[in-house]
Amino acid sequence: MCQITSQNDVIPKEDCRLSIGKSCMKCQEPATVVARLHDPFCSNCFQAYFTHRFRATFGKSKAVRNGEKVLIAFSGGHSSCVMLHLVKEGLAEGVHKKLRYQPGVIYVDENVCLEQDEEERNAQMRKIETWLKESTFPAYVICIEEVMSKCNPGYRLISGDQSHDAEDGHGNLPTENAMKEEFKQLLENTSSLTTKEDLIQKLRLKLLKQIAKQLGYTKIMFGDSGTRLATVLLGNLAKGHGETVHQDMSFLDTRGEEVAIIRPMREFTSKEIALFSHQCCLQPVFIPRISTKASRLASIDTLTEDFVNGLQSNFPATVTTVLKTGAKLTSDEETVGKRHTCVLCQSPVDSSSSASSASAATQYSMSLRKSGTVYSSSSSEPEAACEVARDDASCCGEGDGSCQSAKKNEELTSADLSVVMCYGCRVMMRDVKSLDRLPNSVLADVQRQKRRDEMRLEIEDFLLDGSEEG
Amino acid sequence: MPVACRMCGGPAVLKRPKTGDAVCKDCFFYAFENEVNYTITNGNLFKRGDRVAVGASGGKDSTVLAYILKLLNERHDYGIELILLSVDEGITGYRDDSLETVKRNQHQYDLPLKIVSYEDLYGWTMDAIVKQIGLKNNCTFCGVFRRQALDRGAMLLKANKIATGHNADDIAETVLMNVLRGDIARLRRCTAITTGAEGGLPRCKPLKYTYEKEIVMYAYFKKLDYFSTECIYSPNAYRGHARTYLKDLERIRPSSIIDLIHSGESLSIKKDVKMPVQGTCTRCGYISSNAICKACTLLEGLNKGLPKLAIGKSNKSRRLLDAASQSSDSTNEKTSPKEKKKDVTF
Ligand SMILES: [Zn+2]
Ligand SMILES: [Zn+2]
Ligand SMILES: [Zn+2]
Ligand SMILES: [Zn+2]
Repeated sequence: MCQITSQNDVIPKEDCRLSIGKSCMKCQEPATVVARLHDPFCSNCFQAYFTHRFRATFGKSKAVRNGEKVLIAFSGGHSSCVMLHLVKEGLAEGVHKKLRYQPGVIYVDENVCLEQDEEERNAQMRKIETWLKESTFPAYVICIEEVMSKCNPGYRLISGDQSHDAEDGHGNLPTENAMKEEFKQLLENTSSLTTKEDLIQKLRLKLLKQIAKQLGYTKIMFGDSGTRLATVLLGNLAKGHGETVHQDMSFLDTRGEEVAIIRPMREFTSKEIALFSHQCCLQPVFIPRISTKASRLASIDTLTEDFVNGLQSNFPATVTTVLKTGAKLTSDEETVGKRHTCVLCQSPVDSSSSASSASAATQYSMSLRKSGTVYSSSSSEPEAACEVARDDASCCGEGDGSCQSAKKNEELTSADLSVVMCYGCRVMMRDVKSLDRLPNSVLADVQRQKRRDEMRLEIEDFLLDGSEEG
Repeated sequence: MPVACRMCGGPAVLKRPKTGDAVCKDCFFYAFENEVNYTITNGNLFKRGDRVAVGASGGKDSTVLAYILKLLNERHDYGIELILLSVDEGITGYRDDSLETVKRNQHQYDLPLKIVSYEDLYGWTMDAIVKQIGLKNNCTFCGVFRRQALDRGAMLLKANKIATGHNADDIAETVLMNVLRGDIARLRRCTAITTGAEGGLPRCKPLKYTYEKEIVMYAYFKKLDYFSTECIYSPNAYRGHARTYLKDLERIRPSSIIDLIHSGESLSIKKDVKMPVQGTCTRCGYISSNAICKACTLLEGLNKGLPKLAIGKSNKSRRLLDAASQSSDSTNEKTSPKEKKKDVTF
C-alpha cells in the first residue's frame, strides 16, 4: 500500500552552499565561514559568536551554582578540546564575564577495550596529559576497568590539589590486573558490538558519577555536540530507550540523585566545532575506540551516525529538528516518581501499566517459546566468575558492608531484571552471556532493590496511599 | 543434521525474523496467529457485534489481515462481522491487478467486498489528478484522499470500525519520520493501537506488533494470494532514507523494530508544548486541525484548476486559495459551506 499517511511529508531543504563572496553579517569583512544554517561570518566574529553562545547556555539555564565544583569529562576529541579551551579562556577573563564554577578535568582511559600498540598508546597518553596539565585545573586519569572495583575506584592525579589522598583505591598491581581481566571478560561475553559500545558508555558514566561524588564534584560536563546528541537520540529510540531521550540531549540531565550532567556543546554542530577548533589551532588527540574502523552495519551506533551524517549533509536542518523534537518530550510525569530506577542507566523502569504495548507483546512472544529462559544465567560457568571475584581480597575497609564481595553466587534471572532494569537495558542484556560478570556495584544495586521490594511486600498492608519510597 | 524447532523439537524449517528462533512451520503458524490474537484481545480491539471494515488493497498486509481475522474470529468466537473494503484510486494498471486479487480473496475467504472509487468519492481519479499536477506531488493527494476514502466507504457499509494492515515496520517508520520531521502531535498519536473518534470511525491495527517479514513468511507458507502493490510512485527521498535505516537496524538487531515502537509508546509530550486543536472540517465533518480539512482543500484546488496552491502547509494554502478565488471567480464563493458539504458527504 502507498505509505504516505502524512499531509506534510516535506522536509525543507536548506541552502547550505558556502557563501563565497558574501560578507560577514557582523562587521562586513569578507566572510570565511558559514555558521548555523546560513550566517556568514569572518573568523574573528565567528569566534566571538561561538564563545558568546557557549557562555550563554550557562547563563540561560542557571544550572551551575556559584562556586560549584564541575568535572569536565575530556576525551581528546575536537569537541572536548574546544570545550576545555573555552572554559579555560572564560576563567582567565575579567571578573564580570567569569565563569563562576570550579572546574576539574578527567580523562577516562579505555585502553582495556582495545588491542593497541604500546608505543602508539604511550604517545597518545602523553598528548592527553599535556592537555590535562595545560588546563591548569585539577586533573585526573581513571581507567574504565575501575568500574569493576569493589570499593572506591582508583585514579591518577595528573595535577592539582592533593587534598584527597589514597588516590589509588587499592594501590597494588594484582588488583588492577584482576579488574582489567574482569572487564575484558565482560566484553568477551558480550555478543554484539552494539551492546559492547552501550555497556562501555553506561559503565563509563557510572564510573564518572562515582568518582565525581568521591572527589566532591556535583556536576559533570560532557562535550557532546548537537550532531552527536541527535545521533544518540535516534540511536536510543531504536534501542528502546524512548522514555528518556529528552534527558540524553538536554543541557542539564539530573538522572541519579547526586551528580548531574551538563552538555554545553549541544548548541553546535560537529561542523561548527571543527571549524572553531581549526581556527584556534587546537590539537585534538585521536584515540581509537572499539568501533573505530568498524563498518556502517557493525552496530546501531555506527549505523545511526552514518544515517544522521547523510541526512545532515542533504538536509542541514536535520540535527536542529531532531533536537527540537527531543526538547518537547518528557517522562511520564504521573508515574515516574513511583517507579524503580534502572541499575544501569538510572532511567525509570517501565511500568507494565499499559495492557497493550510493545513490551507486553514481546513478553508474550517470549512466553510462546516453551523451552523457557530468555536470559541464560550463570549456571553455565559459575566457577570462572567466582575465581576472579575471590582472587583479590584487598579492600578499602569500609565498614558499612558496601565493600563485601557482592554475592556473585546469587543468580540473576530475567524476572529480577524486569524489576531493576529499564526496557532498553533489558534488550541490551540479551547480548550479555553471563550477567554475573557485571560490575559489583551494579549487582549490589540489584540485590538492594530486590531486598527493598521484599521489605515493601511485607509491610504493604500498612502503607498509606501516596507512599512512594522507591 | 536439521536444526531442531525451538518450540516443539521437531525439524525446523525457518528462522523467525522477529526472534531469530528456528521453528517448524506449524509452530510458526501457532506463534504468529496467537500473537495477533493476543494483540486483539489484549488491546480490546473488537467487541461482540462489531461490524468491521477491513481495508483491503490486495497487498500482503491486508491479505494476511483479512485471512487471519476471518480465522481468529471463527477460532476464538469474537462474534464480529467482517467486510472487505477496497479503494480504487483510479490509477490505470496499478489497481487493476490488485483489485482482481481482492475479488479472488472475496471468494476464497467468503467475505463480502465493497469497492469505492476516488471518482465516486471526489469526482477525480488519480490519473486525472496526475494529468493536472504532474508526478511530483501526487502522493500527497493519494495519501490524503485514501485516509478519508476508507472512512467514507466504511460508513457506506454501516461498519462501526475499520481494521487496517499497518504492521510493526510501518509504525516504527512513522515514529522515526515524526521525530525527524518534528511533528510532535503525530508522534504522540502514531503508536496508538486504535485511533480516530469524532468525525471518523475508530481504526485499529491488529498487525501493529507483527513484523513485515513474518507477514510475507506467513503468506508464503499459507500460500496466500497477494499482489505486490508497491506504489508506482516511489516515496520521497527523505522517507526513503528512513526506510533504509530501519531495514539496516533490523539487520543489526532484529528487535529494533519493536524497540522503536516501545520507544514511541513511552514518549510523553511536555505539558507546555502547544498542540494543534483537533476539530472537524466545516465542509465535510471529517476530523481536522484546521477549519477546512486537507482533502477539501486539495479538492478545492483541483476544482479551481489551482491544485498546486493546495499543497503544503494548510494555513498557507488556505490563504492562497482564498486570494485566488477572490480575484478569479467570486461566484464560487456563493456556495455556502453547508451546500458544499453535500459534494463530499454521502
Ligand atoms: Zn566579522
Ligand atoms: Zn536502563
Ligand atoms: Zn515446532
Ligand atoms: Zn473536509
